Amino acid sequence: MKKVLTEVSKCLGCHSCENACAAVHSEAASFLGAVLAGEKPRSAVRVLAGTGGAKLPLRCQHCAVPACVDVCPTGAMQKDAVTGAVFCDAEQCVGCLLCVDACPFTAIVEDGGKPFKCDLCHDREGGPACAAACPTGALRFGEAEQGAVSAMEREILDILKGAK
Amino acid sequence: MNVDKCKKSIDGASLQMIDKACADCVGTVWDRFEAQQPQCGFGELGVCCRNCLSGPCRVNPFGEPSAGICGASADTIVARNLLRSVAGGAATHVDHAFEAVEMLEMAAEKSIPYDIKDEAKLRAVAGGLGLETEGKDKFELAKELAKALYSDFAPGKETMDFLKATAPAERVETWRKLGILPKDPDLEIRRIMHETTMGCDADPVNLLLNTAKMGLVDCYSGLKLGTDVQDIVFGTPMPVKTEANLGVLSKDKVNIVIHGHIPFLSEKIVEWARRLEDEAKAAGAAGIQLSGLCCTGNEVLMRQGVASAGNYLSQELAIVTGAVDLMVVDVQCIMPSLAQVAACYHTKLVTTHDIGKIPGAEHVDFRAEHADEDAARIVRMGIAAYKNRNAAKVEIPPQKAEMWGGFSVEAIVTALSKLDAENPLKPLVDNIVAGNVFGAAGIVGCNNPRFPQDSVIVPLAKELLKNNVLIVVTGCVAHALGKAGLMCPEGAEKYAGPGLLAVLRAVGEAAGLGGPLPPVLHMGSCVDNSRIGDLLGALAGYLGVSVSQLPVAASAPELNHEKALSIGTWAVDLGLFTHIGMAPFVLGSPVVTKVLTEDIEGLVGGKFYVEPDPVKAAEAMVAHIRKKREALGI
Repeated sequence: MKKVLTEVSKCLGCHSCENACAAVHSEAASFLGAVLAGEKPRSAVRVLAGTGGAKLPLRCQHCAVPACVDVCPTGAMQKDAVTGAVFCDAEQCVGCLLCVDACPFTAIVEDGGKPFKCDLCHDREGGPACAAACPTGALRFGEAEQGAVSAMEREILDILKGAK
Repeated sequence: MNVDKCKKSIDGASLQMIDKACADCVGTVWDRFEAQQPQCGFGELGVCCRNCLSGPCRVNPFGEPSAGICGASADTIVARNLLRSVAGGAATHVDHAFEAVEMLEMAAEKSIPYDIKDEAKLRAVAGGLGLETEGKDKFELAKELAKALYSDFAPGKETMDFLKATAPAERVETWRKLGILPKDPDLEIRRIMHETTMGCDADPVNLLLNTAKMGLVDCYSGLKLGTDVQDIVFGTPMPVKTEANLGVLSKDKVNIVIHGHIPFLSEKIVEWARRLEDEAKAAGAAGIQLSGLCCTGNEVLMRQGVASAGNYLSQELAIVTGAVDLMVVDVQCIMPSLAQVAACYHTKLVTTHDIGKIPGAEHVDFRAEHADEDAARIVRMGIAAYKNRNAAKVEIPPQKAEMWGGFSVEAIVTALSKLDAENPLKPLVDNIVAGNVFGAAGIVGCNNPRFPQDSVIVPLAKELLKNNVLIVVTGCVAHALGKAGLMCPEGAEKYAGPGLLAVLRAVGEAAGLGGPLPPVLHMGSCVDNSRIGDLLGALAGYLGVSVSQLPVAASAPELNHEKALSIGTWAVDLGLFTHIGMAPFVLGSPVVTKVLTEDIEGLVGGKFYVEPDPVKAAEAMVAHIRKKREALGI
């Protein structure tokens, strides 16, 4: 399956991914349109400052074994068998937010009482907007490595733990 | 916010006020710094260009795109951006100095309430420019001098007369051969705005040579011009004892803090604070306590002995004490956030300059013609604000240290002449030759929230003193080392190596200071970096060598403002090994980085050296000084 791959050493912290994500998820569906309309669209990717100057574009990894799906009591949080995308069915979601706490990447946040996370831009031509906007290839839409937790995911978790 | 406290400052007074700001729910520079993390790497590398409307463009250091839409490479974009920054720095100093010349002219015409205080310096500067000084009173001569100085801003000369009259002849020749002598400052600044616009200069080497030229504009139509004219109008500083840190604020007095860079209004504020002491007492205060921040603070410290409240990163914290009744500002390094911080307390924030207005502050349209009325009005606003002070919100940190200022070149020469009246520089040079004084370092520049406040400056200075390196300082570095207790006689006993200490004792006792000379000499504000240049020029002249051969080094450990870049460029032009605590935004271009840190040494004798660690930086500076000593055979 394809997902957004992260190469941390290439991230320059320009925040282009954040802007692109927010823009495609805005009512206006464009960056300038959202700015002009005074919208405050949320981004499902956030660029964090890691230790030692690392810049980390943090987003849902659409895990092979997603903790958020495991913990969800209603089955709202699901993993698409075909695309591999982890998504939340808003109709089934009761807003318990257990998924927010369960995510090891802190990639799910609360928004208006419901979880808010990356939807892998499921209906977007050209794939996820964050990867398309990344000027250095730190985020790239490509074929994922097999295994429960990939080396890339481990690297991100290490930075999050401050181990790096 | 969660930035560790130790990442914010090494100054106990600052740390106490950072806690108070947090308790008072007042956001400060460190909160905003954290909110900006991580900062964009394209900007940090200097490879972002927004000079035309095809852009913004950025070059990918890891691959494509490797050029902007116009085809500009990373080298071109980085060099253009650097040149614009250095020109920005130079523009501040040239504008400041031009205002000083206007003041000189108006004072000479007696159309403003300012005197010409240092007639000897007036005659020396006028004589240096070839003006006939005999048989003219000071006002007549000052008028002629102002006219001569204005002429440097007009077209038609090979270079500025003031540069030729004041820079070391060997340097002028070096710069002439390189083709970097500036014509006139306004033309050069205009030209680089042209040069760096879309579709002009793409050659990084040509852009860098013009950057070197801009360093000369900065000094000889900015720093040096500003210092000399201000000395003529306000007097040349002589040693003066004062105190530094937030502890100088008074619980019982009206606290007026002077902040910015230009001393024209602040000199009058000092005068009127003294004259209106009784009005403050009538308002229930014990008097008026003045203190300064940044370089306006340094100007009135050097000439009037006004206490230092701190440096750049202390500006918000001064207000957070709850004890500042009025802060009056002019231009440069004034955080717009002061208005929000002041709004959390009773503090009145007053802007005074045409190009330094802040939403939320009260603006007083200061003009030299009615300087007395303006200054009196501002001091009275402070007295009125005192009545609104909320004692429950007042917490003044106890920290303050004895600090000496006023070490102009004239003051240093006067002190040395007590040892040798005929040849004042001889005792200093003899001790350098003997190795008692291993060398000298000029440490200058800013604070930058990338570094805990003063955390590079103070250990660097201590390390150099241990190695018997005499230190001269200006700008925010002066406040930092003053606060740390390095700028008083006791500082010599505590931190100077044995050879240096013996010399400081001898000079201090001969000059009647009642103790050793401070090991770190305060030479003034940022424009007063020219005093360091003058001292180096005099030493080189005495020894008959180039400035680039002297056993000296320069440093801007916590550089921040574009001014630090233009001053640093001039220091390199002068032939100095110039340490900076962080790389400016140039690392995206290997060519620019290499020229600045290596190749330029072969052209002018100086170069930049980047090192954030203070101890390693001190080692490198000492090693450089050792190399220069060996080359001189000492």
